[in-house]
Amino acid sequence: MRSERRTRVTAVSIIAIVAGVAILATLLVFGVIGVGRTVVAGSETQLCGARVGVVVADDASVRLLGTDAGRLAVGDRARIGAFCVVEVVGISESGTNTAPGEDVDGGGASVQLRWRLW
Amino acid sequence: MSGFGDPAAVSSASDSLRKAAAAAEHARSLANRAQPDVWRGRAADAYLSASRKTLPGAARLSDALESASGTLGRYAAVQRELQANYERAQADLDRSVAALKRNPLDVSAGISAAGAQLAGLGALGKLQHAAASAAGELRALSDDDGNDGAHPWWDPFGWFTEDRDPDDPDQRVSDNVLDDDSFTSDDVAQGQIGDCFALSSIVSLLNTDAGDDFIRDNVRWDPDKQGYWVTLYENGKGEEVFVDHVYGKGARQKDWEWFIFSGDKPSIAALYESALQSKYGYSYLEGGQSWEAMEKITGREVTQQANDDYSGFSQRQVDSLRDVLNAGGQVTVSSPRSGEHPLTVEAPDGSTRQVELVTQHSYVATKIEADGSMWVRNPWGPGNSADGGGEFKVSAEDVARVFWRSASTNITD
Repeated sequence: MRSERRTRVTAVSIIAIVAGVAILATLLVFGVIGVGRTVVAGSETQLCGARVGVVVADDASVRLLGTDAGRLAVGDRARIGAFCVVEVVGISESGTNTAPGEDVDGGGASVQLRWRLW
Repeated sequence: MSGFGDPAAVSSASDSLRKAAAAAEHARSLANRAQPDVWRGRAADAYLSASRKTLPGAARLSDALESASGTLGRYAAVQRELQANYERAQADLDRSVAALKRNPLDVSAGISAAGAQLAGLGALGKLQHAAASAAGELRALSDDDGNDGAHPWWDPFGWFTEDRDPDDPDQRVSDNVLDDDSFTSDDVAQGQIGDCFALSSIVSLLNTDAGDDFIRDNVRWDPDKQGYWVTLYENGKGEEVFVDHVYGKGARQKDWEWFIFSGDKPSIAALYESALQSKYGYSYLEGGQSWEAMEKITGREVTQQANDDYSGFSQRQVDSLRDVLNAGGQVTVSSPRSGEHPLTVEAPDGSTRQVELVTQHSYVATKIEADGSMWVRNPWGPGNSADGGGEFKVSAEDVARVFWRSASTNITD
């Protein structure tokens, strides 16, 4: 009887420790490494539960509509929520497949973003 | 020699590919020379636009075929050389074995036999290496990752990895996309694809009852095939495109709401996205001009007005768009190319608010007042980050400042 209880307590302890480590690892990964996302300029994406519009300006800076962040250059970060920091990782012109000089709507540059918890 | 394949057949395949490359290059060259010099107008523009998109692809095809031909040619040469090496090694082995049979104590014959054996195995190994290299080069040319649908070791069941083209639609459709609750302008939220130029045309259709009927006539559910047939038009001629998958990152609409929870489903516009991708490729969705998409979606003649200096609409242009809208037509307008454009706009309930105009974006015009102010709608949809969604009225002064290009048609004509 006592042995069974001891076994149960041990199992619960192991599960609690594993769960705790997993939660810590998740927080560490999302907080330090972050999650990357590529967005076509002129469209919206969901970041940290909010809709964020992504617009690229002529000077290769990025504006995140729907947030208080100003213009962000590559490498800049902005906090857009209590536990949500967004970094502009890169901007590439691969988003559009139209001939130069063709005045198109939509399909702007591809913006690589990375969000993390802090 | 079995195991070495047929170098002659591989050489023949290489020659065939070289001829195909030459034919593709010839076709590209002919198309490149057939540029309209004196031919002007929309058809010429469309031809030039299409050729600009197509010709680089033809050049890439020709290069890929030429490279594949070179790969097979090199592989055939290696095949021949290694086959000759193997045959020489085999002959040496036969001679050594015969010598050993005559004198089992002939040490040099034994060493020769072992050397011949190793040389034969070496030739086979080199052949396998050459075949793997050639296969890798061919896969690289065809953009095939070579996984053959296999999943990585850490995801043996493919739960976390996809074995499909990332440019292909990824979400299976069900029969609820054409439900009655899907036919309002608020039922389109653009998502992460840069195809506002096409979605604005669809939203403009959903803005009128005639537009709703038009969509019902042009999109139909096929219960046997569990997908939709979407009619697209080329030069006014309709062609049905089958759609059974849409983009999860594409146009959505709200489906249900309970307490703080909600869910969405693919919008009617998502069916058009997939149909356009199926017919013209994913690159078609990555930016474009509204008039072109409007023609493909409606099959009607589309009028484009554009101010080359990006200046806003003149009074005459605004008046002509008002006439189209008053007659039940469809109108889209283009925003400025760059800069920041905060506008104070009016909501349908009379309240005012500050919105941000998205640059290089296509909006839907729904009504133009007598004073020239224009009601517009963003295809980003309800609750969007730029203007909050829904219709809003842009003042006549702002219309004359920010909107510089329009596309219009009338499906009731």
